[in-house]
Amino acid sequence: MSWSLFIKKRIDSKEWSARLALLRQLFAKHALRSRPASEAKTCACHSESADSTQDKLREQSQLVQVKKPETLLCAQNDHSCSPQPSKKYLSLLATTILLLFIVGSHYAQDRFPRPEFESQYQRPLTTTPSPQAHFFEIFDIFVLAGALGLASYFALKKRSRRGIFWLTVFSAAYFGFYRNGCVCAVGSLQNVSAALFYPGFLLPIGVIMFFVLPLIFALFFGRTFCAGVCPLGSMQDLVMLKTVKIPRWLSEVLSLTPYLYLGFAVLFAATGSAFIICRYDPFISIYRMTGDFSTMIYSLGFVGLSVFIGRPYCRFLCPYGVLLGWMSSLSKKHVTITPDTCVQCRLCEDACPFDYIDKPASGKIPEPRAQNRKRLAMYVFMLPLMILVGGYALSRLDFVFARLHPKVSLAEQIRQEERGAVPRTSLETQTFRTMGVPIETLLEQATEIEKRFHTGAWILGAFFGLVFGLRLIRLSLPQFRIDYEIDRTGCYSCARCFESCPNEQVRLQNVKNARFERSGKEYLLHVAESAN
Amino acid sequence: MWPNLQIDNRALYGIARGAAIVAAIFSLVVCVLMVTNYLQLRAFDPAKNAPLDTLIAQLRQNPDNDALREQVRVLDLVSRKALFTNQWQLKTGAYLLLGGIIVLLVALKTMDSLHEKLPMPEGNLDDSESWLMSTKARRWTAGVGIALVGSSFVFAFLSYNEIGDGVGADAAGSAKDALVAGVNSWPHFRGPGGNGIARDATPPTSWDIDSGEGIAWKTAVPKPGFSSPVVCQKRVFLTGGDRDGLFIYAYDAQNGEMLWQFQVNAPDDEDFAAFRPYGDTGYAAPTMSTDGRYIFAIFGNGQLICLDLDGNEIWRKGFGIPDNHYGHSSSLLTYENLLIVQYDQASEGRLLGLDVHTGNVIWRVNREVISWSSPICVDTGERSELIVTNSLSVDSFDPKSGVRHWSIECLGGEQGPSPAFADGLLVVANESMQASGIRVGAQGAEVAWEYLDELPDAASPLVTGQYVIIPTAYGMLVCLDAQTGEMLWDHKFDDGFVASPVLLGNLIYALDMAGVMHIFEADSAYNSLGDFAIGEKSSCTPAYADGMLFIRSEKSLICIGEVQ
Ligand code: SF4
Ligand code: SF4
Repeated sequence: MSWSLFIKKRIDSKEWSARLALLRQLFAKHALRSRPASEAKTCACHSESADSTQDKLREQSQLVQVKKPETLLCAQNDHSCSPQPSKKYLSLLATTILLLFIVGSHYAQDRFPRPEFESQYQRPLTTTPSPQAHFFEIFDIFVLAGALGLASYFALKKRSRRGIFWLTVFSAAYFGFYRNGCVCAVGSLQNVSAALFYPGFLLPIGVIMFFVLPLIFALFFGRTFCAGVCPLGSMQDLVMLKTVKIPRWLSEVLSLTPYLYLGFAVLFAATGSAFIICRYDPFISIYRMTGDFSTMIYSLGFVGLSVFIGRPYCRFLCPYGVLLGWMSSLSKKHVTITPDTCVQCRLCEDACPFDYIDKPASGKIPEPRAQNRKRLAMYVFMLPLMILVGGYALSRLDFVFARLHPKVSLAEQIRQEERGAVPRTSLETQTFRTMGVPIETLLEQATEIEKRFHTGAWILGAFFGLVFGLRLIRLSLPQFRIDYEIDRTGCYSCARCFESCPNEQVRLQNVKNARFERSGKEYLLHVAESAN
Repeated sequence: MWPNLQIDNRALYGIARGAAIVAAIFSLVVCVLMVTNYLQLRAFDPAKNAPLDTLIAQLRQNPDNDALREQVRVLDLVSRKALFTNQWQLKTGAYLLLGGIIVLLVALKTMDSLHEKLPMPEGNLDDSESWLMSTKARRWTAGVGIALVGSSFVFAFLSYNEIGDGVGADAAGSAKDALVAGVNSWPHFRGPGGNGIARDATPPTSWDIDSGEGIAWKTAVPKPGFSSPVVCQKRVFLTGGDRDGLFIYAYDAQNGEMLWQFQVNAPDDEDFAAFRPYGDTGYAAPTMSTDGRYIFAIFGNGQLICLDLDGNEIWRKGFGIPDNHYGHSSSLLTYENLLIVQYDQASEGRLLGLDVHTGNVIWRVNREVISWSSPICVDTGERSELIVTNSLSVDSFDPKSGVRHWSIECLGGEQGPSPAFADGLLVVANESMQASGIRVGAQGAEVAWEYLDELPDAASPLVTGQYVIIPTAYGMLVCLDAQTGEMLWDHKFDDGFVASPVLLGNLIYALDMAGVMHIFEADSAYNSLGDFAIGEKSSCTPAYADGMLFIRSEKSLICIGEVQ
């Protein structure tokens, strides 16, 4: 290729045009710098310019200027700036250096010969990733806060199912498909647990806010996060079609699973073993449109289940839901089925697809009171025992849980190889053996981790004992309830049950009438004004 | 048809139903196509193209074959296209499926909303019903709790904690407490480090087996074996075996009295009963090793055992009967607190560093290529290196960790001779390939010279510093210049060599298969001090300690020299 042809091709290329544009700006900037001192503003960082590229170039030039002996102190920005006339040669130098960088970088790409492809393969251009991550981290916080605010507004103030529905669609689209389900409030509890136990564990502001904001909102307004903000809940909510009613006793028992899941998630995160919530997130592969065959089957299975069972993940698995439930049960305000007073029409009885509407109860029980009191006393008395038994039972399994820790798993594999219990080595053990770390060191570390698991398993077992014990106590208490009420702990504030209440229908009618009246008044006013 | 629908909703219901049917069929078809695609991908994964791998392997062997190169390119392009097309299909399928499902859901929800039934509560409010539910829930909760606790205990009972308590406390010990075999010992095959050299030795230079002159003692060894003697703390150790079992023998180095014998395997032992020995190696070909505290032995059936010097078992390990067409013959070696085991087989061969106290594997290197040679440990001045050969290459490892330092491919065929080393020169040789002189230094190793003429079959070469001695199976023995690899002299003996020559003082002792020891000076010319018979055939490398030479013959153990 001749030089002229080469240069022509270069100049024709987009890349080269961009470079030329930058060069032009450089020369323009140089001209600006070379103005007399009287014309120049105080210093480069204060000079007025609409062109951000020029600003950047000034900053770069300044870096060189700072080293000059006759620097002045800039009053405004507390840094050194040079008087304008002396900048002339320095800025020229800086420009030249920059030019060299630009031109040099162009040739640097061709330092090694590019492979010649005989096929139609197009060599992709080198791209520089934009600093999106940080922007989105902050942006997501605002979106989350906005969505939570809207959800609370729709659920409590507007009592609008339609509003909640569209917010759900938005959350599935944005937090789910667009942001790939990450960062998610449910998973954030693992980061928080890890950070609590590992002081060095980095906890970005985005993760903190995703963990805290839904809980704060739940404390004030109930689980409005679940109503239409959580991407996991949104997916289940959107696919829900014809729900099957699960017997109350069964959902009572199944609703203990989230406590177990929560406990294990915290244990494994706090011991640095695994983030099981993320690992077994059933919807992430759908949001990301990727995953192996078994993951897809698992995810589609959950989605299929959600068509017929209202939010199965939320009700019977979600560990974050446990925390939200605690907050919600203490919430200052919460959605109510009726906007007014309950007229006991029973129309809302089966309106909740998740079975979170409690019927009125007189407190009467079909068994002698003394028997009930005896049972209750027994459960209260046995509560510490349950805590102890739970702790002890789980502590026996410390080494089983510890296997989820990569180091313990590696140590076990090594031991098995030593015993000749496995026919061949794994990639991990081979790599370890080439690292030159003595096996004893690994075993000692694994033993240390097992000890941590021992303590963790004790606490976890005790927690499970407490949860089971308290649940037994609660189930033994006679219920007193006058009206149809929402179960504040479980309710997702989805606003589905509102419309089944005749009082809500009256309210809606009143709203409609008021709107009609208002528009009628406005019309009459308008007519009168036009007549005038 | 739709009795409870308003008339103007009927059309909408019909449209929704039609859309639902179309979307359902569409989603189903996409789903089936995606599953088929997946199954196809499983049956033939373009990323794992075996024919392409074969072609690439062939091309490596014939790098100048342009037709083959072209074939590789074409096949590579085809499989790449297949892979990317497949990925594109899956991705597009996923989007289509998502679209189909969304339409289906919207249609079904529309149908559902048009078909909504108003609530019609039946019966009266009944408190007892909710109490019954609570009772049932309570029972189930308690049941589940008990079941969880019970299953935790059962699971804990059934599970085995691999790491266990206190592991690692005594795993390898520290190098400091390692009692190395005493200076007056011959701890491994070919002596200290496995190099066949004892420079300070003052060995006997003549004897007469018939008159008994110069013979300290001679004693019968109950069971045969190709293993050579090792000597430690005035005891000589040997292994032997036949159909009656595998044995370790300890003799008093002063008088040849058998101190004890230890039966490693009895005929009924599972590992032993299934073992069929090979004529070339038999039951006990590998030589033992000792670190001064323990003795270690390995046998043809893969049984490794550690005893103390008094014959008490410390630990044992079974590697399983080796998949080895000549039988296992690599000898053991100890280094600090590690026992080095080269357990080569047709597949799943391994080089192991075991803790001498427990037999636990401290490190492991997988061996892809088989050999029958033994490892040696050398001191390059910079570090200790474990040198191991296989039928392709010679490799150097850190004996403490098994980390590979370097590897040179200079061998071929079936590798029987072990490497030899002295003064920075490593020599590896093989009858089917060549002898290579390799300079080993801080920066690694490089081949200094190659020698192609007279090459060893089973006996190992010997490097004396200035000279390299190569014994052959057909009786020819050559001496090469260690610097250049040039032959300085050769000498033809009547019988070939299986036993490896050793350098004792400045004398080389080479025992031929007929049982004649040829003693000559390590010099640029063949200066013989004489040929001395031991009265029986032998394939074993002699051991030296305390001025005495210990030679295993077919049936006996002979000590030559003056008892110290
Ligand atoms: S219960 Fe959990 S998964 Fe469900 S919506 Fe609430 S936070 Fe999300
Ligand atoms: S708002 Fe009503 S329908 Fe929705 S979860 Fe709560 S109780 Fe159920």
